[in-house]
Amino acid sequence: MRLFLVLIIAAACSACSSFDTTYFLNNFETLAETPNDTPTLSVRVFKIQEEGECDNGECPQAQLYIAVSEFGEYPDKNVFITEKADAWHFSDWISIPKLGDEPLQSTFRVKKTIGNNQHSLIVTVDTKTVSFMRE
Amino acid sequence: MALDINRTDENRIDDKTNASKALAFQKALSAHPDIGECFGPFVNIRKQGTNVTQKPHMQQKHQNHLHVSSQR
Repeated sequence: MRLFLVLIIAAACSACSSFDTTYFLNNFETLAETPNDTPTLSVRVFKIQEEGECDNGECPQAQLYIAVSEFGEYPDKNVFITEKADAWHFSDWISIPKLGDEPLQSTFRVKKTIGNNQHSLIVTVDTKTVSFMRE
Repeated sequence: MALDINRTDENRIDDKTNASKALAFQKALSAHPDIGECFGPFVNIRKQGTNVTQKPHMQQKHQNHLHVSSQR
């Protein structure tokens, strides 16, 4: 398998001054979340699609919101937002940290569709950074 | 599981005359292998297995009590 490092296409949510809580809470779709039986790192993957309908070949696009948190009192936490694409799909978890694992990060696979092109991306995330590798 | 403790030997955690006991108690708690978090005036750590992360910014929120949690 060849892996290509892709530009980091996500930004921490703290940089998103235009975040629309009302729109998000009324429209988000939960694609995946880590099980809570091992209290290491919680990862939740949400998808939000723009309002509207397809017009002149252009359709509402979607973004992923990746929420990451430690467990416990006052946990380190973050939210990363991907770029827009025609479609985002969650594929599978590759690794979820167990107690004692270092570094504390999770890895999963998503599919991004732009036009006729679909890419499979491996996402590695912790509470401070996220990276995307194209398979 | 987690618990908060605000007194040891009937003395408040933020009582300066109780500092040595609070420190000793925190050291004993933090050394236990099942402890996940130990926050307070003197020790502020989070443990994942045997990995220990210092959390010094937790001190300001735990001046008058100890916070202790287990890893599971």
